[in-house]
Amino acid sequence: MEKVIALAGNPNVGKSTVFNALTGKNQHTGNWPGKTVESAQGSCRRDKTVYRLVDLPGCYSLLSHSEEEEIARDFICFEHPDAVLVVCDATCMERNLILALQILETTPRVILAVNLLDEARKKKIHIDLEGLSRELGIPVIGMAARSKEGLEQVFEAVRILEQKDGGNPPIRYPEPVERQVSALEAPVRDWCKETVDSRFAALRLLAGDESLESAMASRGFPLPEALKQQLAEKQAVLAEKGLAQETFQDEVAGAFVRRSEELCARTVRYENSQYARRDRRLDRLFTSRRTGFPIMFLLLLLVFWITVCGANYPSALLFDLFFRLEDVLARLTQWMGVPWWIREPLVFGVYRTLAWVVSVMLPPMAIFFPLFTLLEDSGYLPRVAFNLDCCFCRCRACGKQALTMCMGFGCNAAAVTGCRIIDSPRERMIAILTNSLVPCNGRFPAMLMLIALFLAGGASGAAGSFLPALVLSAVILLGILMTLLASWLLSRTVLKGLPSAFTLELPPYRRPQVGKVIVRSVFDRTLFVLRRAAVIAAPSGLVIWLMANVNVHGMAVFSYCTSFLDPLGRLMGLDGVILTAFLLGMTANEIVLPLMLMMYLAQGNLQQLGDGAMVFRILTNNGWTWTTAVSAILFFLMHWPCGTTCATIRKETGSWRWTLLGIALPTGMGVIVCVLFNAAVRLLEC
Amino acid sequence: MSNLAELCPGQTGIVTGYKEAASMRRRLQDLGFVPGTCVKCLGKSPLGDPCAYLVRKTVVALRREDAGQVTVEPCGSGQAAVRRKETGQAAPEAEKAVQAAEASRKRKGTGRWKK
Repeated sequence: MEKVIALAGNPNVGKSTVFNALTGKNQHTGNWPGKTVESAQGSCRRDKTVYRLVDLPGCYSLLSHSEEEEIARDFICFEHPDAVLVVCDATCMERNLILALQILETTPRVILAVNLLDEARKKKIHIDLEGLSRELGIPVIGMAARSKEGLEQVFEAVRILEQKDGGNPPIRYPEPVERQVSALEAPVRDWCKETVDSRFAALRLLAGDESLESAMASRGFPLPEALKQQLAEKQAVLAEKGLAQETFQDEVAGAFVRRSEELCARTVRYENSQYARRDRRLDRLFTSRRTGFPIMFLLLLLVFWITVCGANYPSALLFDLFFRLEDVLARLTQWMGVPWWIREPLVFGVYRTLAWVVSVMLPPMAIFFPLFTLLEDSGYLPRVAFNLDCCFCRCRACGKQALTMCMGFGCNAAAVTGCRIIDSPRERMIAILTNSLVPCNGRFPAMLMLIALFLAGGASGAAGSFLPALVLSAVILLGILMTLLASWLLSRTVLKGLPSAFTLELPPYRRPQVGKVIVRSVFDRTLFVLRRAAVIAAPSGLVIWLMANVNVHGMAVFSYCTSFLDPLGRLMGLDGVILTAFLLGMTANEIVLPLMLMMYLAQGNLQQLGDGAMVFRILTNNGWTWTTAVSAILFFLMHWPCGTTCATIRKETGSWRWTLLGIALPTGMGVIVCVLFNAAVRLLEC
Repeated sequence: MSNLAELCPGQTGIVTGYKEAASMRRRLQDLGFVPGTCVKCLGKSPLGDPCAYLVRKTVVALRREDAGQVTVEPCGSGQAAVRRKETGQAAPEAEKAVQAAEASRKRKGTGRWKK
């Protein structure tokens, strides 16, 4: 037997945590509103029943019509899940219950999960769960999903729901409204059969909800003329009583809010009226004029510093290990008599690229990611959006773009999907097109390495890691400035328009589960990088080897490619090899630097592989100077998005033209900045 | 009658209604800004816009332009005092002193986060 449970609730109340805990899946969670933009599905089994769980995107209401809200509403109204688990944040029940009441109006099959009880206990907030259950007439569960408290009760509550039939409507409206609604219920029931709750449909129709009407029509239930007539009559009666469309809608919205207030007054007790003092203090620290921006920069710096410090040692270790192994592998295959045309591409193509990717790129990636996740879990990111909103507003973009931008540090493709949290299509498009201007996890380790080698003088130790971290932070700031510049340009050219309304919730701070986050994300990242290395880096290594060793008219294939790109590269302070590596790196950014090194090695300038400073030797032997490094770093920051991101942009925008712009915009900016930089350097040198 | 955008950091007001063409009225209602609601302005972001408001025990940031769509009665009236007691806000005397201080600050244009 299969049962469907839908998870609904306000954004950022821990729906995804509940979902993960119940299904054992690993949906990304974070303390900021709008984390889940696509409804994820998973299942679990208890006794003989299979429960299919659907994690709906978070929304504040079923009445207004952003994309997420319509997804949530349509699922709850039309898909008839066996139960809707409404997840609430115990620390702000009053706002959370509004949605719960609205859902309860559409279906009686609701279970209320009061989540984050642990946080509430810390803040000395007491919730009378039984009282709430009595008042609402539905099962209410106390939960702390992070520590798995109260999860099993969900299945018990589903069984209780089965035995319960119907229920009282959660809200009684003023007398004239109730009279019209009950008069409409019968004809509405004839029209929509069992598709939706008739009282709910009658109310929505009276309120002039066109989106429900069209949702019904698309399911084969167009509104009949007779009903339309009746509706108009009832609306006229209400208008006479002073409840015209607009006022009526306000009345309905207000009724939910007031009922929720009433429920909370009866069931929620605040032992400490200053329960949010710590949050307000932190807010003052993180968002005041004097400390807001400095702290943002210092946190960025700190994260990179830890990354550099932490990555040095494992990187060197892996380096050493892999290249000793290469030697062994080469000898072993020779001894086994493997023919050279199999041996060489395997060892010097596939294996070597893999080794570069894992030893150079993996350690910084595996360290940065958990640090970033900790920041995300604590609730700091919405404060970043709060601080930066004014800048985005002046560029006529949405402040939530700061959130998607931050998400881009993790992965640009995921961030492009995340842009759905921005309601206005114009502002969403700006956020999508400019997202790749912040370096993702696959790009900045390469930038970090170039900075450490060429700009930070190769100093070592904790102090030595500080300088690269500082320079990288400055580069990131440049990326943010470029994002703003690009947003400004876009909203004055192809995406003209004024900024739309903007609301952003600043959630309570939560202590992140440090141990769990670190273990989980180091492990996940490592697996992720290794898988990508196997799927993308290994074949690319083979391609490079073939390009370097297959001759056409007495010249290696890739020489054609690099010499073709060389003039453009020189203009930008780079060379043909670097551009070729960037082109091939479109499959995955983390292989760009390793590919560069492979190509230089294949040119035969240096064959002996040894210590860690080898990368520096390979590059300088091929004519790299500090200007080359700076140009490469700039181009790393601003070039075409990786293939996955391009595909995501195509999917999100639904158009190839916007995708092309999403590629051309950062590329154009990168080329211009590099050319200008080199022209300036040459001018100064003359 | 003033609007939400005119509240200074630290100041509290009761929502009375919305301006006429309030495009985001529904969104504001979903967040709990309905007539009769007590709203406290917590502070401004470093660049002066948006502002953070405490409404129904949650913190919501609104830009000046959007906050201007909500009309409020700054606290001080009888109803407000009752609500303040319920929500555990600062005492009226302190509030008044704060308001006076804020009013002078506002004239200088340096209203910021208020304790």
